[in-house]
Amino acid sequence: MTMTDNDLRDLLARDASTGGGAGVTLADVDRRVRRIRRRRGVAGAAVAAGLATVVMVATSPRTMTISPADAPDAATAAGPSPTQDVTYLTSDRVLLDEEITAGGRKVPFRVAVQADSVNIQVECRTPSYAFVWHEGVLVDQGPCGIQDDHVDHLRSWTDQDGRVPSGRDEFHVAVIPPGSVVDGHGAVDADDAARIVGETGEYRTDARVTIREAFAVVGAGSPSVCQGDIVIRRPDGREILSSACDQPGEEPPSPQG
Amino acid sequence: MRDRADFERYVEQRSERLLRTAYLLCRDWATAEDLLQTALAKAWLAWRRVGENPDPYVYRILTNTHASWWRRRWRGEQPVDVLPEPAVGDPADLLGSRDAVRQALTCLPPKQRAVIVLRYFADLGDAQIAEILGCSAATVRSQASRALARLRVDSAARSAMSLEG
Repeated sequence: MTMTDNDLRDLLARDASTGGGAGVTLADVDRRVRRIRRRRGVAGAAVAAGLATVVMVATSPRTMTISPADAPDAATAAGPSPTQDVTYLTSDRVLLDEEITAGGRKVPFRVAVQADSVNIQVECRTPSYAFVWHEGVLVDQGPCGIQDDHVDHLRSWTDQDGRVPSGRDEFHVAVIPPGSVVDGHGAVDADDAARIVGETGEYRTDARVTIREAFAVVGAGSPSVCQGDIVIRRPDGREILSSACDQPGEEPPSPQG
Repeated sequence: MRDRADFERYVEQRSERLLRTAYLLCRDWATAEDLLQTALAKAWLAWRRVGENPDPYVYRILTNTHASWWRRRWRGEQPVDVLPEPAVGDPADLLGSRDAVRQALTCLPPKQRAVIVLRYFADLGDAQIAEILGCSAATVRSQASRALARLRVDSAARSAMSLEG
């Protein structure tokens, strides 16, 4: 027996109609959207870290190759490095991943880790407003989950002070209904946050807290500022290095040139 | 086709059919669900740019994602010294039979499989398939011709029908 086109159509239609999976729901799709966003965020952080490393590598030989013994003046000129600029980028190493099932109350989350810093993300599966405290200080707040603007908001905060006291970090997260904060966008202060959470009272919700390790990228910004200003001069036949960053009172140019 | 309500309506109305299309691409329901979730998620992320008819965009993500997963799986496969025995002793008995076609379908390269599924299940014309797969209509025709030859679909019967969409 030889098949015809119509036989092939029938076969495909029959195969596709038999068995069948559980189907795909909007909730499945929304979960996948969050995963893609998270992955893109991590990938973006990795790219940023890579770029920062490239900047450091491109910059460091200009300031490090002159030894004081060979050229003391030059070493002095290159020595005063610009202000150390440290940025903390989120890695993909998860330290804590827990559900929040109760809204209207501060839920504690603790991690104990030797790391440069930490990042906390709050995902809400129901439209909400979230507060995040770090070591007792209100550090982040805002819409969480899908809001009226149809955007799925994710709370994400990285400790840019990079302090992990004694290798321990304590966070508190409170999820409240989106209408609890006036207009849903204006930030409230710590006292109001505590009051609003207290007035809300406990209710059932569905959110997830993920804490990841963050790593320091040292000098990602400042050295590149001076990169173009390091020049070689030959006064009296000698070579010295100089930089606009070393000139007192002179503003270094912007990274964009 | 710009807001969340449109997207929700689209998922509600089209997900069943799209899931079947995904299944025919990968021949596994769990993978098909995974594939469709990924395609719809990516469609939502680009929803404002998708336009009035999201089908071509979603089909494109489905076929591209399937092809990339297929390549990954292919790289992970290990060659063996001895080929597995065929399920039926005489290969001639298989020719033209439904089981043989099914078996041959699973062996088609992803692009040829996509052409077959989009043409004979999604009922798309060659020009639309070309747009989805990012190739010319002539390439679609040649890929379809090769695929049909491997599936042993009768060429005379084929030529008697109008295949152009």
